[in-house]
Amino acid sequence: MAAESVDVVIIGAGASGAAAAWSLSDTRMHIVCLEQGDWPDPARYPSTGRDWELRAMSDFSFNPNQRRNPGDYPINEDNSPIKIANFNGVGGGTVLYAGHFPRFHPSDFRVRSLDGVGEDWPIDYATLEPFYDENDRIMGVSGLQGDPANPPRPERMKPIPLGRAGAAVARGFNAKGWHWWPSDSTVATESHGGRAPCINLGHCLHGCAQGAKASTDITYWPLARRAGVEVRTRCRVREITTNDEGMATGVVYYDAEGGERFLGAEVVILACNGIGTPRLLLNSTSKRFPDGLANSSGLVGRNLMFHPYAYISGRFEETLDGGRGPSNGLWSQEFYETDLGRGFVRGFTYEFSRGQGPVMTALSGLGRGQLPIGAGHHEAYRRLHQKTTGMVAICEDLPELHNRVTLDPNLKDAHGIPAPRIDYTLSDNSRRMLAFAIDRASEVLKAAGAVHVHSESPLSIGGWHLMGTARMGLDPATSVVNEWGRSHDVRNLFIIDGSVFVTSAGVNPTSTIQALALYVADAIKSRLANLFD
Amino acid sequence: MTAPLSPAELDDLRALAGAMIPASQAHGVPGADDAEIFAEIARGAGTSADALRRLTATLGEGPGTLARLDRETLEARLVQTWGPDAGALYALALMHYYRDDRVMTALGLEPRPPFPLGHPLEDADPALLAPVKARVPFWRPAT
Ligand SMILES: Cc1cc2nc3c(=O)[nH]c(=O)nc-3n(C[C@H](O)[C@H](O)[C@H](O)COP(=O)(O)OP(=O)(O)OC[C@H]3O[C@@H](n4cnc5c(N)ncnc54)[C@H](O)[C@@H]3O)c2cc1C
Ligand code: SF4
Repeated sequence: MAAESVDVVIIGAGASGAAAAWSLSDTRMHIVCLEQGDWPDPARYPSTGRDWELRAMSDFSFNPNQRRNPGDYPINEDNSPIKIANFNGVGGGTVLYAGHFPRFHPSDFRVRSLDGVGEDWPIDYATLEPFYDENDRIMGVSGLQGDPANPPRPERMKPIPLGRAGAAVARGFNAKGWHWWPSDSTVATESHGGRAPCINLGHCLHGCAQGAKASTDITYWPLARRAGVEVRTRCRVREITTNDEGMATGVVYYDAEGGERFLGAEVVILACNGIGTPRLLLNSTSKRFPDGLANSSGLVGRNLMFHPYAYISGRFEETLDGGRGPSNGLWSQEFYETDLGRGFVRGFTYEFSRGQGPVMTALSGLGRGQLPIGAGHHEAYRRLHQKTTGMVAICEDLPELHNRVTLDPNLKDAHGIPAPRIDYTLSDNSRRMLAFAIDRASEVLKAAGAVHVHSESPLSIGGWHLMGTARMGLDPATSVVNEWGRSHDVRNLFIIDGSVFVTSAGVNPTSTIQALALYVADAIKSRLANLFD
Repeated sequence: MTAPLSPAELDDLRALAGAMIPASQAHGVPGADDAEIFAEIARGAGTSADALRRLTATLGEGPGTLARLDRETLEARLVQTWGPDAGALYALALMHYYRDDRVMTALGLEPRPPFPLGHPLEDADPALLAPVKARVPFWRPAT
């Protein structure tokens, strides 16, 4: 049987893979996307059943080592205080993400020039701006124009209601005289592109059964498939193959029945996220590429950035929202840009975290020592029930060579493919930033009327932003891909996920990941005649 | 593999659940040892068997004997010896207790899944944003 061959293979059907597939579909090239997980089934999302909070700790946990679905691969994260959160299936992380959709600031692309740390990006905000706008249009974004902390934005759906909890936190920021603003979010507040508006189920982090939150299985993928792109699920890529000229020839993958298959391709696009992408490159060794593919710089897997998170919550006497409503609602970028007087370089965003349902309220109360057993239990529970709200601080993480993804010598996935290992330590700058963020947020919550403030830092479950492990740059000695996403070493290999980030900024990354994916796809389209020169 | 819980161990677990979350007339709620709630706890107890066995040993009793203690005594012993195993069993009880219809109703919650009815969420007073709207843009241009 002749080996199957296509024009473009995209590996990974998550945030970036979907955006690039849609953009490239107008070329009428033969495009196949291989995805190791399944199509999600919203009818089975936890919020459709009475055990909704329990399933957040089992088959809809955001930690793959806890979830262990067939599409998942294990990750050795023992040597990291921050554990990985992801979703392996069509839609990728967007199936579970909260939907916060901030953009980088212009200054985030010039970190070395402005602040003397990290590296500058080879592109700037103006380059990405049209792609941010296009992505907002397809994903559907709610929010409010006019935020003084950010460059202007195009028109969007009306913002998410603040609710009682959001109003309390906003009052706290006002009392301090600090910035806050209704956040940009991919939670639809009006009908958008066939999606129904949010009805405040409050379970966005475990799949939106209403379809109000923009995950790419319901945004980009229907459009891309209608335009002819094929998605093959339960297909896990083991390695990218190359020829003697150092060009990628295709991929070897395991199909849904576990059979080993080869798919030839003229162009290979990697969209497996900041962990899956370096894993696949490091697993793709050959005589010509003994240290892994696209790794002549030695930087594949290095410079792993999370955003260290602090979670700061306040207990109030008034009744707030509990588990109702999306956790998105407002953000503050009062401390976003560098001010060395604060004791650290770069900055962070506060994002509102609304509240919790009844089971999570109990478990958090237990964790914080606020929920005694016995006779006092019920009184204590009622002091917590619908009375807690707060925020997270998303701190910019700077690239450091020793924070990295390698292949674990022993751990393997269900197909016997070596699994990734994470080595990560929190920098002193991050520690100082987290401490500052906790202090200021405590002031906000107290000003808002909180009678007790609790904080957690770094948030151990918060490894949901995976960046930097195949960075973009002009110099092949210090970067893995060039300024339009093409590997320096392999001229028909592109990387479009969060791996290519040069620095992390202090905001959630997905709008930037997708804008980059659209930008790289556009670069491919505009160079089709001489793409491999 | 951990052996499943014996009937005597299930009795212990039920006594512990009742001591941790007792019924309350004042709040109109059953205890975690209520038959329906405990059936859910028992169904979810598979991974907690070792914790229960260690806790029973710590409390100084053989299997099946905790159920013979009165609730207050058991509560006092638990408080005195509190550790990770007791915490794990308390978490198990909380996970099932706080999704019982009667408990949710007593808390003013409707006993139903969030979807498809959803929930209302209030809009806040737009005037709250006035001081921020008055600020001049303060993002750093980077040319
Ligand atoms: C709980 C949670 C909350 C989050 N909240 C936010 C938020 O509010 N805002 C925000 O901006 N971001 C958020 N994120 C992060 C966001 O989900 C990611 O930034 C985004 O999904 C990354 O996009 P990606 O394309 O790089 O990778 P992903 O979306 O992770 O997609 C990668 C895909 O590749 C597939 N894949 C990997 N390896 C292989 C292989 N070998 N073969 C075949 N397929 C493979 C995976 O199965 C996966 O589907 C959150 C994430 C989580 C988990
Ligand atoms: S709160 Fe809104 S976006 Fe979140 S899960 Fe519910 S309907 Fe979806």
